[in-house]
Amino acid sequence: MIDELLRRTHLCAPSDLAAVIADPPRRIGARSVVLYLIDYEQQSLVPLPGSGRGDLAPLSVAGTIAGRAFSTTSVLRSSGSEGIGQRLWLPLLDGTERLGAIEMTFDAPVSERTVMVCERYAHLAAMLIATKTAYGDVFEVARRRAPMTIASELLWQLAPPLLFATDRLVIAGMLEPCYDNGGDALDYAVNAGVLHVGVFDAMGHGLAAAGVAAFALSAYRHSRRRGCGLLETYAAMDDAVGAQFPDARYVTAVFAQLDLESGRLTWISAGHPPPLVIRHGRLARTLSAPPAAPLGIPLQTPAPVVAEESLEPGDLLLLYTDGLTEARHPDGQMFTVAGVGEFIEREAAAGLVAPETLRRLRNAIVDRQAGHLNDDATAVLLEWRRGSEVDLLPQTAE
Amino acid sequence: MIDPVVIAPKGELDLHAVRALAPQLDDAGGADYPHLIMDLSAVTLLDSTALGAIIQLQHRFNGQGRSLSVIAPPGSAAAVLLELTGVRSSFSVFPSRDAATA
Repeated sequence: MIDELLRRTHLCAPSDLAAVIADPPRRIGARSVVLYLIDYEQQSLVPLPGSGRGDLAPLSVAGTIAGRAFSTTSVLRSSGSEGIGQRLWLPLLDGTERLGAIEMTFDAPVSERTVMVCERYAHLAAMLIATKTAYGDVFEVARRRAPMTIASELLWQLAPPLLFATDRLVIAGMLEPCYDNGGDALDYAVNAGVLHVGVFDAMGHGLAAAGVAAFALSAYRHSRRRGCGLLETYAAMDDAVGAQFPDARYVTAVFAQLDLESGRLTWISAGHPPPLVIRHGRLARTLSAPPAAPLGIPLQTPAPVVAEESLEPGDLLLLYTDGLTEARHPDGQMFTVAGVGEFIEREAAAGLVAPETLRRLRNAIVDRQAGHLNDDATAVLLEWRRGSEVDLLPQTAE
Repeated sequence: MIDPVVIAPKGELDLHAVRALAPQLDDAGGADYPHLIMDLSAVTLLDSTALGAIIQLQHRFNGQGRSLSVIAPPGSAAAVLLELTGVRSSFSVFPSRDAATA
């Protein structure tokens, strides 16, 4: 089944992939296979055109078995229609990135052996979706449930996948409002045992701000790929933004390097809110350091200073932009740094993994009934030596 | 001695308020008096565009050899922002108008 899928994907266009993935499982008795992709708001699982029947509606992540398979990365079973046969719900995981879920319907009860085969098949399907997405718009369009601004289009093009896990590390990101983000960006890379991560906030909002953020982010990547340290990276970003935008447009940023073996964290805060550490599951505190000036301002500013801290195993680290802590509750109260810290402490204490914590944080601040955003809200939440990376692998549950 | 010109916005300086203030700042940047006081004592909130506007004004004044004093009493929204963003030392900051003209 896996061989057949691999062979057929060579000449497969992105828009045909769902139908191609749905076909080979017939050989193991699957009557229908439907692929669902998670939407940008991470609230609905959207059926891909070409898979299953044509009249399928999106499924809510909250309160559905599909949603539970997605949010807990678990393989789940339900009974087939009219009580005949069985349905399998499998998370669509590219590595650990949660792309959506697959529904496979069988006419007869499914053996454990078949469940294992289907889990591997779902993994391959997810990797193919991730690969083919560069060649067509079908997956991108399916994930959009509202019109996107040009500024957001630009920033999503620059964004890395919003979830990555490897030995000792889980890193999850959030960029909101997802259809109208005007000037925030984030980036990370894991290179030879070191995590490089940064969050960027360009002054203002809209396409002009997104352009400034894009310059800063590109300078950041350029420096990182040349092997520059934090001070050189600061100078390169400062030059890139300052030279291209000689007026007072600027970018605030916090960018860091984390040694994944020792937990040594070094960072520069360029006029940006300080990172937050959640230690022992409850104690949130800010990592204070002398701030350097924002990037690209046309004034004489003091030289930046690299700050340093040792993380402890199990620590959570949050980098964010001020739009997150300044988001409003329904009663008009600001979320505040303490409020965001408490939220993360609570979710982490309940055993939730970083991407799920951020998905819930997003719902708390963006849900139209619950609150609203005046500004872009961006966050990167990472877990160091928490042992939680294995929680992101597919779990077989009843 | 010529008395300094004072600009003293009040309340929340967000994108909207900065747009409203822009003509006044433009006039100040294009004028020829030597000393401007930007009094932020009564400002309760400054967003990134407000900081940008003040940086822009300082930049113009530097280029013209004129002086800009920023009034930000300790603990005020402006003082906190200038400190947190690491730009305080790029400005002449005073706790009060009296201190700026002394």
